Formats: sequence, structure tokens, C-alpha cells
Amino acid sequence: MRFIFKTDYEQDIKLSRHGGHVFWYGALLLALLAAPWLVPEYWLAQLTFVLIYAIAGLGLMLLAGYTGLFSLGHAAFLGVGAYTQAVLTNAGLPFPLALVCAAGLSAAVGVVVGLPALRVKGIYLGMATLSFGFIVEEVLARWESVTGGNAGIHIKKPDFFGWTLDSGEAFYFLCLLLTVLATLGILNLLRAPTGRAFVAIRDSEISAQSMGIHLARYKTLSFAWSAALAGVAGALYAHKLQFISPDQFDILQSIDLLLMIVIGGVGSVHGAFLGAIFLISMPQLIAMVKDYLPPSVGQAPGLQGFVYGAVLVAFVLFEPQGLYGRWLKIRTYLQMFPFYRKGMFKRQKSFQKSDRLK
Amino acid sequence: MTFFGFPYWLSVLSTLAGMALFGMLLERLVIRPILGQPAFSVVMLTIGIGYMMRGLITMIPGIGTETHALPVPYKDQIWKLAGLVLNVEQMVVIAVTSILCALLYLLFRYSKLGIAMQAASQNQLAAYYMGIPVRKLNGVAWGLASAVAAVAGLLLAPITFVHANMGFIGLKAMPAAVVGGFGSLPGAIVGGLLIGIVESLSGFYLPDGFKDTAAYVVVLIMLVVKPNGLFGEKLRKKV
Repeated sequence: MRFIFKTDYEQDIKLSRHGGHVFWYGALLLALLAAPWLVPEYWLAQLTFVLIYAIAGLGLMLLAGYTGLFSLGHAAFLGVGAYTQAVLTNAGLPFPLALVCAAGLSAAVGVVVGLPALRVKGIYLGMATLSFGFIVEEVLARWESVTGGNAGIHIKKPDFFGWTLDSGEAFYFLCLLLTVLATLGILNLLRAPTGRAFVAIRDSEISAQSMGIHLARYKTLSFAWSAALAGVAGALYAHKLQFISPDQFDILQSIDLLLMIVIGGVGSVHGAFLGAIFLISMPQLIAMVKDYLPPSVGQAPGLQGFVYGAVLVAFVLFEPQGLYGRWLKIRTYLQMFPFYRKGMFKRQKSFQKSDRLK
Repeated sequence: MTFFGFPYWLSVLSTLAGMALFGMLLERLVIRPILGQPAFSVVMLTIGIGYMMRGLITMIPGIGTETHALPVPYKDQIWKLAGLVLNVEQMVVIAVTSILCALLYLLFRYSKLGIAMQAASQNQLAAYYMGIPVRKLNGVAWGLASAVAAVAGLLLAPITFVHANMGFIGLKAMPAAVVGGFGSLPGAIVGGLLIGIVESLSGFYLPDGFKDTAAYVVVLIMLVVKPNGLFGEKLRKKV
């Protein structure tokens, strides 16, 4: 068991609590940097997808996990980012500029969607974002002169002012760089007054308001940042797949993103990464065990959906804090080895009130 | 049900009863343990269950992956009434909907059960204190909701087809509820009518593609302008 003796206020807001953090995250970063030489190409591609989904997950985590605003239409931001990137890159813009535009446009759209969030919450907000998701999907499918409609659109390789990034490894490093930047950005945001305001809004809007937090401003801000991150993820996604079509950004994708953060653990930055790893590795696992199942089960098209659903139900029922919550429990158990008590992580029950009451 | 050679009316009744039971069972098994957690957990849980059920259906050989037509006795019949030609199928839908609405309205307006449900929906804890058995009530509400959804499914099945992804049609119901205002039955009817009219008018007057999104545009506007819906109560929490 490690006891941290705090002697300074700065210690409270330092990114790394103690030396162990620096060591382990440094080691993780080194391992990720060395990955292109260590793992085969296929796994590197999967790792790239994990990073991309982690960025989108970070965005959704900021919104859902830290501000308490659940979005059922996050794939729409992903789509806006992806299409902006595709259109601008094909028009000849260099990658960084296109990426900034994609993030900016997503953020602008996020602000627009955030408007209903100022007046509604809970399930109502879910419905507003869901409606928005449908609208964006339809717009992407119908605005054929720009988006290519349902036929989809091809996207060129990322281009840095004349230097084209055409290998999988180089793209992996690009994703890694952006993921690290996004993670550090989120961590920094969360220890700053803005992030604390988000958490205050999540815990109780009324008390946050009483403490002088401008609800409208911070909710919109949260939507904007979240959408911007989703936009960046969408842009990378478009480059990775090199082909995008509206049906990649439908309601199922939105639900996948939500599923990702719920399984990873709502309200933790780790959760976004753990969830992304789960989301990418699950289809592989299913494909592996498929052959051992009876054919009527193993070959059913709904098998993957069934497994996702079952895992989701199990997590909501037995481990509401997700994979990261489970890890925290295991860690605490090991740290205080004989003294772990069952009720240590018990949460207080909160009884449901109508979202209609403001 | 008709698969096993049951007569139509018997199979309708057993479907309704079966779905009501299934809803109550679902509440007992999975919803009740997470009573006292945020509403969002319930939403995620039901999404998960939806995934599971869709997956399960596709695993039944021969049934899951195909689309079926539901044979009904009133299929393709036409009434001629003073120059009007009415499709019986649609008339049945209208009639059943109005009866159902009237029944639910009476339930929520006059019966103890309905009023207790409304109380629990507004504030579970306060309802507990007033001696309302909220847990039991939740079970009844789930049973009722499942049965009503089953009615909707039965009405819809002859018009579209029966297939595993039918559930997504249910998403169209939410705009109606939002526009009318949750917790108000007349609101739900007016909302449904409004959404239907907006949808068909925009399908007629506006270019292709607006038809499918019109309902959602209406919802977004509604939530920005009047979050409580047309008929929703105006309530404000006081600290």
C-alpha cells in the first residue's frame, strides 16, 4: 500500500500522482512506439483502430462520463469529421489543415446540437441527439454533389505539404501522436477549472448553478470539445478505411460508441481506452470461438450482436463502473491484501426522478 | 403462433398475454436489481437486451433470417361506404388505436393504479413514502408496456413484414411522444398525428429524403423551443 504524503497544492493537480505512474505509462508509450517492429501488420492495423476509437471514446467520455450528457448520436460527429476530411483532402488540402477544419466543423455542429441540451436532459437529450444522428445520416446520403451519396466516397492518402503518408506504420504513428495529444489535452482539461465545472454539472446541475457555473456555456463547451474529438477520430477513420459511406455512421455506430464507454467504465479516461480495446478485439474473439459452436448458433448473423448485448447487460447489472472499475477493485484488493472489504465500492442509491422536472 | 396452426384470435390473445408476462419477467430479472441507479443505466440495459433478442432470433434456424408476412383474416378487404373506399386493414388499425388510447386514458385518469404510476414516474422516492409499492408497480408498468407494444407489432405486421430488425421502427414512436409531451396521452395522439402529417406533407412537397428526416427535425425544434411538449405539464424543481 502506497501512502502519498502531500506537502504542496501543486501535488493535487499533477498529472502523475506518483513515480509508479510515470514508469508504467512511460513503459506503455515505449511499447506502443515499438509496436510496428514487434507485431505483425494485421495487428498493427487493429491497434490503429483501437487508437482511433479511443479518441472518439475520449470525446464521448468527456460529454457522457464527465458532464453527464448522454449522446445517442455521436456517430454523426464522427461522420461529419470523416466527410469533411474526405472532401477537403480530395480537394488538395494538406492533412493538418483538413484535420483542423474537420474538428472545427464537428465542433460547430456540436454546438448546434448542444442547444437542446441547455433545456432538456436525460432521456430527452438522448432523443434529441438520436434525431440529430438520423438527420446527419440522411444528409450524408442525400447531398450527393458533395458526399457521393450512398455510393460513398474515396479518400486520398494523408498529405503533409507534399510529403505523402502512405505506409501503415507511418499512419499508425500519426494516430498515436494524435491520441497522446488528445489524452493529455483531456487530462489537462479535467484538472483545470473548466473540467471541474463539467464534473460539477454532472453531479448536480442545481448545485453547480448555485456555485456560479454558467450551465449553458459549459454544456455547449462540453459538446463542442466532445464533437471536435469525434471529428478528429472520424478524419483518421476516413483515412484508415480510405472509403466512407453514410451507413458507417448510423445509429448502430452511435450505440457501439456508447457501449464502448459503458463497458470501459463511465467517468474514467482509462475507460475510453479499455472500451476501445474491447470493441476492436471482440469480433476477433467471436471469430475464434465461432468454429467450436454448433453451426446454427455459430453462423447466425446476429451472434455478434447477441454477445455485445449480453456483455453490456452483464456490465450494467454487475459492474456499473466498467472494466476500469473492475481493475480498481482488483488493485485495491491486492494493495490492502487481507483487509479488503466488500462494501468499499458500494455506491449510494439514487432514486429516479422525472427528467421532466428541471 | 399462427405457425402452429392456432386460430387467429386465440394467437393474438396468447401473444398479448405472453408479451405481458415476458415484460414482467424482464423487469423482475434485470430491471429490478438496478432500481436506484440513474435512468441511463436502464437505457443501456434495454439496448443490450434488444441486441441480445435480435441476435437470438437470428439463431433460430429457418425463422430468424427471413421475412414473413403475417396472415390476418381482414387482409385485402375493402369496405365501400357512401362512395368512400376504405381499406379494412387501415380501419382496424385506427379502431384498435382509438380503443387502446381510450382505455389507457381512463386507466391513467381514474384508476388508482394509473395515478400511482404517474406518481412513481415523477418521483420514486416520494412515491415510496406515500406507501406506493413502486417495485410492484414497475413490474405492472413493464407488463403493460410490453402488451401495448405487442399490439402495435401485431397491427404493423400485416402492413410491413415480420423480420428481425422490425424493432427500429419503434424509434419513430419517440418523436411522437416528445412532440406531444411525455406523460400526456392526448399529447401522444396529437404528437403522432402531427408527425404523421408533417411526414406525408414533406414527402409530397419537399424533395426526396426530407420525408424520413422531417419527424426528427420537428423533434429537434420542439426540444429547443418547448421541451415539455405541446401538452406536457410545466414543472420546475425547487430546492
